[in-house]
Amino acid sequence: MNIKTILIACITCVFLSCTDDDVILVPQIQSTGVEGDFIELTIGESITLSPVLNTKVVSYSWLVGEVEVATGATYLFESSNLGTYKVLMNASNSMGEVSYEYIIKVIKGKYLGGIIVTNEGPFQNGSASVMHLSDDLSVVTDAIYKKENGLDVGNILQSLLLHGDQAFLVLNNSQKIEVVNRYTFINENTISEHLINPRYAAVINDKLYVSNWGDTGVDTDDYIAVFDVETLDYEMSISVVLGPENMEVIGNTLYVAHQGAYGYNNKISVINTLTNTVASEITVGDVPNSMAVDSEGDLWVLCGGIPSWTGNETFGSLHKINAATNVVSTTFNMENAHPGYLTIDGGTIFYAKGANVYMMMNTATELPTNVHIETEAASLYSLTANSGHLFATDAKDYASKGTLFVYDYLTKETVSTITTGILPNGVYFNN
Amino acid sequence: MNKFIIIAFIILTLNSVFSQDKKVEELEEVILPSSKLTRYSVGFKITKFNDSILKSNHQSLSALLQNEVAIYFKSYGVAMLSSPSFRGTGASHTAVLWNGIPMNSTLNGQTDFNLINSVSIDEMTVRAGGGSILFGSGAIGGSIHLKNKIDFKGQQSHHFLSSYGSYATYKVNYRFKSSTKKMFTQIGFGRMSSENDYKYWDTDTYNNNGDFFNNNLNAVLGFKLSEAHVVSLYLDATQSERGLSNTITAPSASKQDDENFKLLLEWKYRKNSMTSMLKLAYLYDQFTYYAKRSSPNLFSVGDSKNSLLKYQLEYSLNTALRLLSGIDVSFNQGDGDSLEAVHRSSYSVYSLLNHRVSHRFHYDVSVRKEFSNTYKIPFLFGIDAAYKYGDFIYKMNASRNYRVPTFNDLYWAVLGNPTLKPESSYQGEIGIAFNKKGIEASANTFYIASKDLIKWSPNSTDDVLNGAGGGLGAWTPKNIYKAVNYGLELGLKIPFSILNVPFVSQANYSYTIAEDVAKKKQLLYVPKIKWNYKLSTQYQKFTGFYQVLYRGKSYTTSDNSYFVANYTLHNLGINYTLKGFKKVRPVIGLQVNNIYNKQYAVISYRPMPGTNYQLQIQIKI
Repeated sequence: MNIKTILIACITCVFLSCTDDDVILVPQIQSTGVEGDFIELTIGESITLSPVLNTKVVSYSWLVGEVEVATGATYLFESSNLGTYKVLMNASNSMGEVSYEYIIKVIKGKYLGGIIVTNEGPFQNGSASVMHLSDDLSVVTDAIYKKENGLDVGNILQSLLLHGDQAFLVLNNSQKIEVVNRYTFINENTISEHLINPRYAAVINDKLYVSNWGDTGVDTDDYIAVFDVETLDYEMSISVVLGPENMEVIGNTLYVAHQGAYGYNNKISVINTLTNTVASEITVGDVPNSMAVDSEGDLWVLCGGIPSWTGNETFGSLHKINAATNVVSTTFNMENAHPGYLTIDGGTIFYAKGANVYMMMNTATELPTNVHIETEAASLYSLTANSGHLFATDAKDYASKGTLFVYDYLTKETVSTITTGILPNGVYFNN
Repeated sequence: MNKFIIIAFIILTLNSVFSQDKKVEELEEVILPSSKLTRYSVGFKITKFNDSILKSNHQSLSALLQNEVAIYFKSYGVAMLSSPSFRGTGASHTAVLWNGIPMNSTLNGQTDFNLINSVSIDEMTVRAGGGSILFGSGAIGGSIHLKNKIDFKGQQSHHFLSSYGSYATYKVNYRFKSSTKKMFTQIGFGRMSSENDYKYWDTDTYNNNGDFFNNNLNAVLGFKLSEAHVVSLYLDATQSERGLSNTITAPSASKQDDENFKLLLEWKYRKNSMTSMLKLAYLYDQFTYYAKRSSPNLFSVGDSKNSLLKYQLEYSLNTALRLLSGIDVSFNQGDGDSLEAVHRSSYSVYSLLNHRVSHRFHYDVSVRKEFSNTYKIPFLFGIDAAYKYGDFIYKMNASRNYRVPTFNDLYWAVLGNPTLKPESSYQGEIGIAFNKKGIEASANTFYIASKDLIKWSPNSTDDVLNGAGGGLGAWTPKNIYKAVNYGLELGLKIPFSILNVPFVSQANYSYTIAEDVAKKKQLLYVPKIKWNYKLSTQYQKFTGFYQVLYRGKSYTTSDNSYFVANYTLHNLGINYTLKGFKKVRPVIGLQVNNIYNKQYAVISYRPMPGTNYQLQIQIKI
C-alpha cells in the first residue's frame, strides 16, 4: 500500500464522519477501485475503472492522452495494443473537483520473460507440470498450465518448443501436443492425431516437425510428423531410422539425432524441409543423446556410447558437423565415459559426465580434462547454458520434487537453488 | 440346510459373535482352535471369514478385506492389480497361502487378489503380524490363508450364484459338493466379466481400456481311507484377460492375460497323539503382456513353475505340550522374455512348540532355518503368548522375519541384481482383547524394524561402479532402505437389539507410521489412518448392512510432497430370502457401492468408480 492510498484513506475517514447525503462536498476519492500503483493487463483483457467518491459529482471526464474518451462515472478500458497507458479521471461539482491518474500496463502475459522449467512428472500415475521463474529468479510460479487452464497438462512432458507467441508442449505418454500462448499459458489447441510416442518439436518455414518413436515394440515405424504450424493440420510423415529424438534447425535443414529409443542408434538424419525428404544420414558415435548449434553455425553432436551392461560397451564421443557440407569435421573420443547433456552458449560448449560439468570452447582442439563445475545434482536430468549462466536440473530419487541449480559459469558460483516439480527435464527462456 | 440360507450374508457375522460368546468362558477353546495356523498363533490377532460371508460378498475379496480388517490394498483400479498390505509393509510382505501352500508369485512376490475367485474357497483367515515360521518366506506384515474344507458327513449340495451390476458386470458361479462317509467331491466353475467402462470422476475421460473377464475351475477330492488316513486332492485353475486401465493423463491400449494353475496332493495320517501331514504341490503362473492389444503379435511373456514338498509331524507329548516339526523342499523356476530360464531350490526345517502352562497361560516358541542355493537366510525365531485375566486376554508376540528377493528382483534381464540379500525384520506386538456377552474389543500395538528392504531405484555412479546393470540412471533393485513401522489397531464389535431386531455394530481403526529411516518420511502409499465401520441387521427375511470405509491421505512421492487425497466410502447392501418352492430358498440381494458418489483413487491419477449397483441371486439346494 502506498502513501497516497493511506492518505486518501485517512482523508476519507475524516470526510466520512461528517458526510450527509444531501450535502454536496468538495469531491474526494474514497477508493480508486484498484490496488497497487498500476494495473497490469494481458493484451485483449479489459477493466472497468470505477472510483468511489465521497459526494455527488456533477460531471466526469476521462482522458487517455489528451483525448476525452468518456464522461460517465466509470470507464471501460479495453487493451488492444501493448504499452503503458495513463487514464486521467476528472470529477467535479459545484464545490470543486478532483482528479486521479490510472496507469495501465498492457503486456503480452504474465509469463513474458523469465524461465520456464518443464517437469515431466511421474510415469502413468500423475501429471507433468510447468514452472515459471521471473528473470531474477525471485518469483516462482508452480504448475502454471494447471493454474491457467484448470486441467492437468498430461503425462511425461518430454519437451517444449517456443515459437512465435506459442509454446508447444510435447506430452510423450499422453500422445499429444498442447499448444498454449507462451505468455499467458492459456490453452489454444491440442494436437492428438498422428502422434505415437512424440518426443521433440521444431519449426521451419511455418511447418511443425515432431519426432515420434512410433510403437516402442516396433523398430521400423519411427517418423517425423509434419503439421502446418498455423492451422495445425497434419500434412505428412517422414519415415526415419530408429529412435528419433532431439532436432536442430539450420537454414532449411532439419537435423534429427537418433538416440535409438529403447535400443541404440548412431545416426543423424538430415532432412531437406523444402522437399520433406531425408537427404542423407550422418553416422556419428553410438547413442547421440544431445545436439546444439554454436555461434559459427556448426552443429555439435554428443554421443553417450552404449552402456556396459549390454556387453557391447562403446564410449562417448563429441562431433562437430559442418552444416554446409553435412560432413563430420571433427571427432573427439572420450575414453571410459558416457557423457550427456550437451549445451552451447555462443561459442562455449558444456557437457556432463555423471554430475560433473565440463566446459570447452568451440575452437578447442582437445577435450577438457578438468571438471569445470561439480554440480550438487544427485541425478542430473538436464543442462542448459544461456547468457553466462548454467542451469542444471536434478531429478533426485525420481520420486520426489527436483531442484534447479543455477550457476554463473565463469565464476562457477551457485547463483540460486530452486525446488522444482517432479523430474525437471528442461529449461527454456521465454523472451 | 435351509436355515443356513435364511441366515445369508451378515447373519454369519452375528453367528460368529454369538458362538464366540459361548466359547469365551474357556480360554482353551479361544486360543487353542482346531487348525495348525491358529494353534501356534495364540499371541496373534486372527480374523476369520467363513464360507457364507465369502459367497454372499457382492464385492471383490479386496473390498471385503478392506472393509472388515485393518488391511489396505494398493488397487490400480477395478479388476486391476490389487495387493494387500499389513501395517505399512509392502504387498510382497503379505504371505498368501492356498490350503497351506504359499501362492505369492515368485516373479513379483505378490498375490493379485483380483485373480482370486472368492466363491472357490470356504474359509479365509487373516493373521496380522510376522512370525512366518510355519509359512516360509514373505510374511513380514502378515498372512492371509485361503482354505477349502473337506467333510465326510454324507451331504450333497448345489450352490448357484449369479449377479449383474453396473458397467455390464456379470458374475456366475456354480458349485457342487457331495460327501459320503468315505469320499468327498467338490467341483466349481465361475466366470466374471465386465465392460468396466466407468467415467473418471468429472473429467471427460472414461476407463476405456478396463474391460476384463476371468474364468475359474476348482475341484476338491477327499478320500477317507481309514479312520487314520485321509488323502485329498485340490485343484484351482484361473484364466483371466484384462485391459490395463488408462490414467487421467495417460491413455492405454495394453492388455494382460494371466493363467494360474494350482494342484495339491495331501496325505494326512492321524493316530493317537500324532498327526503326520504330507503335501505335494505344483503351481504354475503365466502372464502375457500386450503393449498394444490391437497388435496381438507383439507381446511379452513370463511364467513361473513352483514345486513344493511339505512334511509336518505333530506330536502331543501330553495334554499341555504339543510339538510340530516340519521340512519344506521347494524348487522354483522362472522363464520369460525378460527372465532367462532361472531356478532356485531351497529347503527348510522348522519346529514349533505349543505349551499350555495353565488354563490361563499359553505360549508358543518356533524356530526355522532355511537353506538355498542362491542366498543366505538368517535363522528365524518367533515367540508368542496369551494370558487370560478376567474377561481380558493379553497377547504378545515377537519374531524375526525375512523375505527372499523375487525372480524379477534377482534375474530381470540386465537390470536384475543376483547379489540381493533377503529383506529381514524384527518385530514385536502387544495386544489386549476383551470378550463379554458378545462384545468384543481389542487393541494392538506393533513395532517392526526392517532392513535391507529392496527398492528399484535409478543407478548412481557408485552403483554402476559396483556392477549394477543398465548403466547410470537405469532402474535396478537394491537392498537400500531401512524402515520402521509402528502403530495402533483398535477393534470393537457390539451386538445389540432394538425391538427384538438384532444388530451388530463393528469398527476397526488403525494408525500406522511407516517411515523410511534415512529420509524420515512416510513410505509411499501407506495411509496413516484407516478405519471402517459396519452396521448389520436381520429382520424377518431381510438382512442388510451399511458400511463406511475411511482411508487417510497417502503420499505418492518420497519427500511426501504429493499425495492421494483421503476419502470416505459408504456402501449399502440388502438381501431378501424368497419363498421359493420345496427346499429351494433363493436369496436375492442388492448392493450399492459408493453411495455418495465420492471421487476417489487409491493410486494417484487412477480414479475408482462412482456410485455403482449390483444385483445378486443365490440358490442353494
